[in-house]
Amino acid sequence: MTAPASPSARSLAGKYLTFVLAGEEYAFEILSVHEIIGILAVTPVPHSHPAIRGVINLRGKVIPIVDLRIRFGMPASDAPETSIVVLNVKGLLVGIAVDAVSEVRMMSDAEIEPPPAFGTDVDASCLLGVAKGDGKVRMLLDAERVLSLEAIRSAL
Amino acid sequence: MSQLTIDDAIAAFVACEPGDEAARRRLRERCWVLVSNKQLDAQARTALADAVAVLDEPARFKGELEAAAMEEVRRHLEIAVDRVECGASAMSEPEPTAAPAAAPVAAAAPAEAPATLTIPADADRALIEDFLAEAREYLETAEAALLQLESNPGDAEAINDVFRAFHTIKGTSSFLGLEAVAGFAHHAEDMLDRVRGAELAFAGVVPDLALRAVDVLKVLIAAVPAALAGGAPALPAEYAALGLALSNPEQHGAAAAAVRPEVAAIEEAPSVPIIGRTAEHVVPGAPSAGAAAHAAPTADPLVKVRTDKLDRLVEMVGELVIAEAILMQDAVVRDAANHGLAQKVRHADKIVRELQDLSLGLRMVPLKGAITKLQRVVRDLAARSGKQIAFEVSGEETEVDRTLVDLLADPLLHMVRNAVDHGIEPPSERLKAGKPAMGTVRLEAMQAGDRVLVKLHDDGRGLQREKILRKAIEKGIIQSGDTMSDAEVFELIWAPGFSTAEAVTEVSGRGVGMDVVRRNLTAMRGRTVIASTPGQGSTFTIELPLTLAITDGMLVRVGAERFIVPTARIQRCFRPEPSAVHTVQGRGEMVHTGGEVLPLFRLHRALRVVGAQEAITDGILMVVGDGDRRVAILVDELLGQQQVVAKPLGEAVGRVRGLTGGAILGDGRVGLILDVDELVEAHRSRGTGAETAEAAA
Repeated sequence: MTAPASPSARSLAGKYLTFVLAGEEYAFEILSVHEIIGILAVTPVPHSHPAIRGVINLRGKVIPIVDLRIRFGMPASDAPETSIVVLNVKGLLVGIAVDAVSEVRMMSDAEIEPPPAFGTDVDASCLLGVAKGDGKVRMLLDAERVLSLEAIRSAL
Repeated sequence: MSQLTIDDAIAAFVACEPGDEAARRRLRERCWVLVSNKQLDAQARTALADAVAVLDEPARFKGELEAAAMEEVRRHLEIAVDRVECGASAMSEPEPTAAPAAAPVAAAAPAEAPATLTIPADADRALIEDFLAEAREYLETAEAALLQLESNPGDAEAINDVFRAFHTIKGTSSFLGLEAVAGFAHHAEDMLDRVRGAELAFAGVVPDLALRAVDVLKVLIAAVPAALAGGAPALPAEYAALGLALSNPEQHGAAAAAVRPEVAAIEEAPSVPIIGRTAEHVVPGAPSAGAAAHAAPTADPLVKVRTDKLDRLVEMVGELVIAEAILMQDAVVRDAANHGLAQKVRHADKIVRELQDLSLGLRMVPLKGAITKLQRVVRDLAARSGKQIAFEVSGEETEVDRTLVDLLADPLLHMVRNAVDHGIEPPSERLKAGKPAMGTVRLEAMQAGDRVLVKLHDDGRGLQREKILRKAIEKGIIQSGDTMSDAEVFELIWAPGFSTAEAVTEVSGRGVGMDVVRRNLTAMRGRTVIASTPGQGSTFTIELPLTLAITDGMLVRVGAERFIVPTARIQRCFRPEPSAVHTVQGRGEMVHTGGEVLPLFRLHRALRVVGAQEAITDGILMVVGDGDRRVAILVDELLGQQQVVAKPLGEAVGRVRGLTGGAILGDGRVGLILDVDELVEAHRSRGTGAETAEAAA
């Protein structure tokens, strides 16, 4: 599989927004984050994909909310979600409900390692890399891959 | 018309008493007219423009300042007079304002060119109006291209753009009998053709001539409506001279005195318009030096706006309407104690409503655009098939949303084609049937509430059930048509594969099948109905919403979820008696109401909502749909009517059958808008068996 090779070709160092989902820390590149909002009531859309939790009103725009737990095939959890991270992927806004938003963190090349082939909950093709530092392991997510419709459909 | 001379300006200057604003205005006006007189010496015009700029600053004429300002005006005028006089002596022309080189040209012109713009008595007004809009666009393109060429004279694409503009205007105007326009465009086209063929360099006088040609064409186009109204507007002053110059630019270049100053004017121009613009009293849309001042008074009153900006505006106004409705319903506002506040909110409400009407109107365009082209189609098709057909149109001024006009083009074409090819009989057959040899195809457009109806009626033989069935069976769309009603048989012509794309291509150049046309209409909440009487003709009706921006919706609750049902689709709502519901073997649950029996459709099952009412006597039934496709939909509760702005759910969600989009509700949450017809359709195709099985589970 050559896909993970291409992201590692460029430097992954930069600012990331880190958040907690099911007890794990994940991060998106800050450039792909449109904004962070408090959790809102989500309107479910009948007959849509299971990973699409529904839609919300973002100041007059209707945007979908993707359930990362289902996207990654994680078990459902009781931990209350507190925030929605709105990502901008190629001009499309998509929200992701997360347990908690942690911080914006500068990651250096030295901290970032290529994604492990297995051993994570997350489909390796969605990972840019793994950052270790501060005594924590953070999985750096590729927003485009995570939210790609084809990938969502084939994941389930 | 006697032309203003520099002497008139001097006279006006002399008449200016201190503090006499009116006299100053007259002076300014005269100077301004002279600035736009291209026959004047370029430097004289620059000086006059300077004078205008001074006169345009009222602050400089306050009290004691006035004398100094007037002195400055005088200096500019002096320069102008000097220039005019020396230019005149150089040309050895006694009359300073007589156009030095244009005069002999003008003398030769009348032989070739008409003096006024006239329109032939039998001209097709609709086509001319279409042409005007088209011509304006072409001229704008040409102008932009010309300006681009100034910085990059080798740009072949830009030269082509300019050529195409002149060429198209020439062709169409000639076809429409607008000889004055055609003749002039012809000269311009000739010159550009030579530039295109590298026979003539795009340098020296050529760019200026081309720009001026655009200006003259603009004036001509702007004068057409007056001519249409029965007048005979005079041709622009430059018409004849410029026409000659265009047809022979070299010779014109040789007579440098006439043209070179113009070029000089363009090159020196920055000083003119820049001063003009800093002064705020300048004629709106102050012309660039290249565009003569005559372009200013006739400047196109239309503004081009990107459609996405317009759509965004309409959408935001829609949001405003809803936000405002929420405000109106707020308890604080409704509280009788806050009388003053309520009054203010009501005032704001009025403004918002007006804004809404205005903004919706922005996107509305007459159907004419989609209909006019059909005239030609009918004519050509009739001629080819040897039929005699009169095409009658009414209601073409009916306005609909811009996007819908485009959308209508294909279905209308199909319908017209069908009427002419299959509907209307050949003359001999018509006479035999006791009908006049001349068939009639009538297109009617009208507004009905928040819908627009477009009906195409022909007095031909009507749809032939047997023929349609035969073709449908042949194409494998159905097995047998024995049990089908007439309406169902007629519906077959929309089925995928029934009409072939080739049949369409022949007329429209676009290979779109009937099924695609139908789907596009449905996506826009449109419907089609076919009625036909054998021997008497058929009527195709397309029904479309007036606007796509705002929907009147009924907010309904199903379990904990809320949905919006377009009010226009609801016929009535009622609370059923327990005895009204029956289960019919093989057809599922049926409801008796008002003497009819309708299938019962439980919305919560179709939408997989949990916790909704199961007992129909606790819920409300809504009758939706039309004809034999009506059903009674069970919901828990009606929450009230609301205007909503339909928004797409986004690519990530994709197209979900039975939903047309989402809308922001009063509490800020998203409500889903139901496409009732599609929902029922999907439910039917799944079969009533599944429904009962699900019910049993």
